[in-house]
Parts: sequence; structure tokens; C-alpha cells
Amino acid sequence: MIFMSLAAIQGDALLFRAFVAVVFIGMIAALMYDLLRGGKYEFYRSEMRWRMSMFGGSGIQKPPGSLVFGAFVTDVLGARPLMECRSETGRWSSHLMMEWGFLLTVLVAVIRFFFYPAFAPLAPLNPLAVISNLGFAMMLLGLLWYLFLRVNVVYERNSVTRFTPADRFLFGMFAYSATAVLYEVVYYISPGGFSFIFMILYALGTFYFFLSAPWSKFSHIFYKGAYNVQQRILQSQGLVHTPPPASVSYIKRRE
Amino acid sequence: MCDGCGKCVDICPSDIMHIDPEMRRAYNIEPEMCWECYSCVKYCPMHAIDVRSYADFNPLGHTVGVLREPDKGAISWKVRFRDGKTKYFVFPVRTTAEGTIPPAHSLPEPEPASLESQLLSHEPDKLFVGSLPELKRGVKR
Repeated sequence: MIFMSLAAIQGDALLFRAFVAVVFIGMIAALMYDLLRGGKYEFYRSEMRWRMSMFGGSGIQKPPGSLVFGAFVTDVLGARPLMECRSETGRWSSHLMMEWGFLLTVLVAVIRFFFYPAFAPLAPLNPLAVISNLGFAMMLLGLLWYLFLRVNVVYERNSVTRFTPADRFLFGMFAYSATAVLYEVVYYISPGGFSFIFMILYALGTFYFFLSAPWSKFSHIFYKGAYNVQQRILQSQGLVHTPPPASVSYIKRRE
Repeated sequence: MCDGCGKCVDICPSDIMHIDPEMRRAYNIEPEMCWECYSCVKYCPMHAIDVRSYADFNPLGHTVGVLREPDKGAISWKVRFRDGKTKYFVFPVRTTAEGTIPPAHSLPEPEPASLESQLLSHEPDKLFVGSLPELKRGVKR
């Protein structure tokens, strides 16, 4: 009877929707707290005021939608600034794997919220399940690859057990993706009460990851993306500190 | 936005740009010792560094922005003067692509007999000319 109740909980639509809603609201609240804490929002506002006083004036053009969309595609989805800054293909590729894997899992979660609301995993060959599993697999593979590429903490005179905000973000991503995969595997093997434990672990991993903005790098998902798009817009409006690219090249080919 | 790549740390001649170990971002540990060489500003690939002059030296405000483009061999400046005028300058930095100039240790060691030559090291090749004029030996003045 208990096992039947636990199985019913995993299939309860209201509970799943409530869970997703709490995670979403909690994520927004955590981001707001992170933004207001330490003067980040105030710094942003003062920076924009300075920029407008220095470079602004009348006749600032509203950016075209194509510019904003193009900036979103290249700078957010393609992580172009990361490639330009680091020039490391491995780091860029692993970052893209984690990013796109995360977006796929969130997309499936949103669809399931409206159409298939339940904790219980879908059938393995269900298209949503395939996309979701692909997303989690990409996150885990990208994470593993990234961990091999990251700086040698000991070489930088840090402890092996260093746990900075970046490390906490990676740990949260691992908790979210690993518990999801484990829950799905255990559910397929034994869809009864035993998988309920892994559902709880998955819920805890999801809470930890999505609400970790105050203590991890989670917020950079939004800050970096918004900043990159904003920089492209400001460049088009002439409100940036840097001059435009040179129209000539001084590199001469020697015969 | 700083990415923590550490290029400013490598380039700073005063070694005052360090990486914060917690946030993994660069910061100036001794701003009063900065002599505004702009090396970090030029080298930062994210253009995240800004030098704002001391208020006692520059009370009315000006801004200087720089963009280094190694693929064009150019460096561009955007200067906004105190009266609000903005001017742009572009200067050549080099005429060869970065990484194409071989380091000195990779060049072949010269022969001892070259000490008798009037030509300096790697002349005339590195001057991109066929030959250089030489003084004729044994000419009476």
C-alpha cells in the first residue's frame, strides 16, 4: 500500500507543477537577492549613468531587432566572447555542451509542466524523454570534459578541496544532472517505492542547483548573456568606451 | 566583463594585477602604484579594464578608450576631451602578423669569419634588400 502511494506521488500532476513553480519562483528570488546584495544593481545603474553622461546625448537610435537576435544567437548560444577571450576550443566546446544540455532539459521541463506533468520519467523512446536524456548526457559529458580542462588548482597554490563559487556551480550542475539520470535509471528498473528515494534526491539536486545564485556562479548564466547582448547594442549606439575597429590593415605580405 | 583569463596579470609591468582566488576575477591590488601604462587595457580581450585618472590630476574628466587589433597590426584610440569633443586615432603597430618574426635563438649561428664582414647581423636579408654598399678595401684617402 505504501509502495502504491509512493508510485502515485511520482505520477501526481499537481505535485510536479507545484515543484516546478517553486523552483522557478525560488530561482527568481535567488537571482534578485544576488543582484541587490553587494551593490551589483547600484553599480550597474551608476555605470550606465556615467556612460550616458560621457557618450550619450540626443538621437540615440533604438537597436534593430535583427541586431539583438543576432547578438543572442552568436554571443549567447554560440558563446563567441568566450572563444575570443580564451581561444581554447576545448573549453569553448565543453561550455557549449553544458549550456545546450541545460537548455534542452529546461525546455523539456517547461513542456512537461503543461502537457505531461509528473515526476515519473516518460517511456525511453518518447521524444521528450530522448531530448531530456540527451540534455542531461550533454551536461554530464561537458562537465567531465571541463573538469579535466580547468586550471590546476594545486599549481595555483590552492587546496585540492577548494570550493569557490565556480566550484559550487559545477557541483550544483552535477547534482542536478546526475540525480536526474539516476532517478530515471532506477525508475525503469523498479518503478515502485524504491525509486521514490531517488525522486527525492533529484528534487534536492534541482533545488540546490536552481537556487544557488547567492553562493555560486549560477547567476552568470543570465548576467553574461545579458551583458554580451547589451555590449553589442551599446556598440551600435556608440555608447562604448572603445573605438570602432580600424578600417585599414597595416599587415603587409613580404614577397 | 572580466573572464578571469589572467592576461592583464601576465602583462602588467608592475605586477599589481592579480586574480581574486574566490571570484576568479582580476583586480588591481595597488591602484596608487599604477602608472597608467595601459598595457592591461590594451591586452584585455574583453575590454573589461578602464583607467580613470586621479581626481587631483584630472578633475574635470576625460576618457580614453583603446582597441588593439593584432590581425590588422593597428591600435585605435577614442579620446573624449573635457569639453565634450571626441576624437579617434588609428596607429600602425606592426607590419607583420603576430608570431611570424622568428626569435633570435631560432636563427642559425653566424660563422666566425663574419666578424671580418662590414655587414651587421642578418644583413642584408632582414632589410629585405638584395645588397648593401660596402667600403672598398685598400683605397687611399
